Amino acid sequence: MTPDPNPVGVALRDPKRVMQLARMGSFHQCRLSFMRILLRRLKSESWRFTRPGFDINAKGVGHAVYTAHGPDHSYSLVAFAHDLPPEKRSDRVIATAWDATFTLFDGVPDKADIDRLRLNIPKQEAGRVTGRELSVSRANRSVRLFDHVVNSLAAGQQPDAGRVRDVGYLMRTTAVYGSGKLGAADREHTAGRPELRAPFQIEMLSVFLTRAFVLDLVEHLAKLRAPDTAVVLEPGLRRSFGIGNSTGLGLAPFLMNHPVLLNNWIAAREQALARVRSLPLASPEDVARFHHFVQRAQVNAATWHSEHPVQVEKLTGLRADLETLARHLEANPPEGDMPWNRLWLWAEQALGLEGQEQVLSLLLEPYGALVDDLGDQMDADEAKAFGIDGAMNVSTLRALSEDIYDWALNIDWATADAQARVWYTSEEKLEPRLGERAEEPIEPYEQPLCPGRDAARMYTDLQGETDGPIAGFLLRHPKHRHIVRRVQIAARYPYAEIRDNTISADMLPIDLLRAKLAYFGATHFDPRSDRWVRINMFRNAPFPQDLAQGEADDWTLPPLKEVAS
Amino acid sequence: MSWSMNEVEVLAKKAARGAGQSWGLAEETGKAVRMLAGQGIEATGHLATLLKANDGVAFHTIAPADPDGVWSASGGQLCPLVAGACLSDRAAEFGVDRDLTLDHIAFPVFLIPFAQAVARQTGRTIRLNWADVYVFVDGALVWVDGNVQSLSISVVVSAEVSAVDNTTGRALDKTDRAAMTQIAAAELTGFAQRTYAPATDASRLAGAGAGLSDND
Repeated sequence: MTPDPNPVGVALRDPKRVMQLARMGSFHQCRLSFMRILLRRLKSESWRFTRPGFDINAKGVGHAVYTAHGPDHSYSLVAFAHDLPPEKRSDRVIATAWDATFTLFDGVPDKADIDRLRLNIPKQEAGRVTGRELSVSRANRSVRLFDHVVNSLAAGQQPDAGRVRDVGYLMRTTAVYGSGKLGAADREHTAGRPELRAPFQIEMLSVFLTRAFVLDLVEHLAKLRAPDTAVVLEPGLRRSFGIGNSTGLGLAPFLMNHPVLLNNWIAAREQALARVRSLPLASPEDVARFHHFVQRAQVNAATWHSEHPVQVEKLTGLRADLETLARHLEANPPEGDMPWNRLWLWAEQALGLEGQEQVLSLLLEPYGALVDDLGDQMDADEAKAFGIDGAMNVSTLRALSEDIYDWALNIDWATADAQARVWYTSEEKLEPRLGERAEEPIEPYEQPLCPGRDAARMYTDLQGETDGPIAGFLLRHPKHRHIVRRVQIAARYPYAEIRDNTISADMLPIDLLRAKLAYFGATHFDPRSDRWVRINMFRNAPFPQDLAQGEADDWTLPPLKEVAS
Repeated sequence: MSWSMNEVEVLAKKAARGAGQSWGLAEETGKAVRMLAGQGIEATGHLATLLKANDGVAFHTIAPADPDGVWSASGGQLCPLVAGACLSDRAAEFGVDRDLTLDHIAFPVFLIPFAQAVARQTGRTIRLNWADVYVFVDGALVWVDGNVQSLSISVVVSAEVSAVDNTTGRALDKTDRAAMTQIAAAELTGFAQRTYAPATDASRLAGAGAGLSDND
């Protein structure tokens, strides 16, 4: 089941190669990341930004409204700021209070809307919203940085640049809920609007406006505290604050629960790579731009910090790979026939996974005109692919299983390591968790998040079935409906299935998290455990009011003048 | 209180799983309830009643025993979700003319979403009939002719499914918010709870992301 080759001849990468957890856990943001798609649109369509409300007292309590006006619709972030006792601050799903809570409202809210939202948004999952609300989210302060910044600004000084660089954000979101959760509008309600067709645009817009709010908030609090001496942040430093995010297991099942969507994300990026690789030649300008981005990627790798041993090793590898890349480019400038393809083929042999995936992102950077349109292909009509085709033959199902799940059929599922983990939902605030099968009584609650093992079980039951439509097999073995559907989806959508054991003893949930977060456009992945990662969103991005005059899409890698100290 | 379609679908799916359906069938149950909600047909109460009746009941006793003949269940009453899945699995049989009779089936309204899938796959219009109501699905819309109240019947002696060439009656309006009574929500939530593992201190610490303190 190889994907169709690119029209000019370079084939898309084999899903068996791409859809490995270790590689997915090495994805980097790129031109097709959702934050970047958003900002390019906000600029190209000349969106206007207003702040119809800002009412926050010296204790940091109150509300604010930030509105983004597009050609057809307006969207308003309604923010509620709270006075949170430090002992209540937690990023976990089980938290019940936060420093700030938000909703993205469809339109501009009136007073009645704000009063209703004030009763519900601060409660998050314990409240209700309506079809006028598109997303619900919350954020907590960085204890290390928030007070330091307010205090510094109040005293008339800029905060310490090193501390700012170490943390990178003043607040981090701990969940952003869309798609009908808590009663909010379903994705289908707004997916027809051109500005919301690309994935997660609502959530990305919400975070973009949240960042604007948070920066205004610290300057406002400094001014309230010391009206005579307070200053605002210096613009370059101000832009260096992103919004952090604390991402845990809630995000991990998403990629497995949305196979068609996952396929479309991956296929778009693979298609982009194939287009660049297929270019017959590279202009000197494009080569110079590529060099420029390689250097910025080196700065990025140098300033990317983590203490987690897995990430430390990956970063060591990435820095070495970028050095290898730089030396290779010096000795082998991209010239002649299909230079990017030759570079890519070299990278696949010479670099590790982090390096290869970084090179992929870098190859796209000079070629927005060639690849940005692929953003239109990243949404999915999942309903269309949902129905099982009961007319498929048993022999076809068997052959598909042997092709797509060959790796799973070769695993001995009876060993303890192969099925060491169980994905489940805790009754405690419905928090998604990953447990140890042998140590906790959680197997009865196992979620269907191990397609490999399920395919192997289905394949075993297929032995001895006479050929004919699988409808009969399904009636006799109803427990295989889920995996049969997945096999049929993966047959039509080559990148739909992760070709790796998702319940093994050594599986790293952060690989799943990073893959999704890279598509969001997040940077500075900082794992705090094997199942929890801190990231930064919109770091160095323009603010809403900057979009009209300045660049909208040149912020995901640090500028060259920023040098790590 | 209005619900999003996503909430109703997810609750129905989890409830169906909690009541013993396989995950695959539970996913289809969720989609079926969502589809009906989108046509203004509030099926969550029916689902709660159906799940209570079939709680712990063996699959083969509520499934069609002989899919090539009249569909009837060895236990005496067909589950419409099981029969519906069986129907959509055999969609190809409705590409040509095929008349299907289902014998003693609960809440036949749940056949509608599966018949819609058959209509989409085959390009045919499918007609369902029980008691004094006719339902037509043409791949996009749902048409009702006859007594609309009969959509809510909890069990019928027989229902007919056939491929036809025309629709009659009135097309139902679509909606994008779902209705669900508090009672139905509570009953479905009760079943859904069975899919959640009881919390323990150990699982709280080890199972998720941050430890108890994650301040930075």
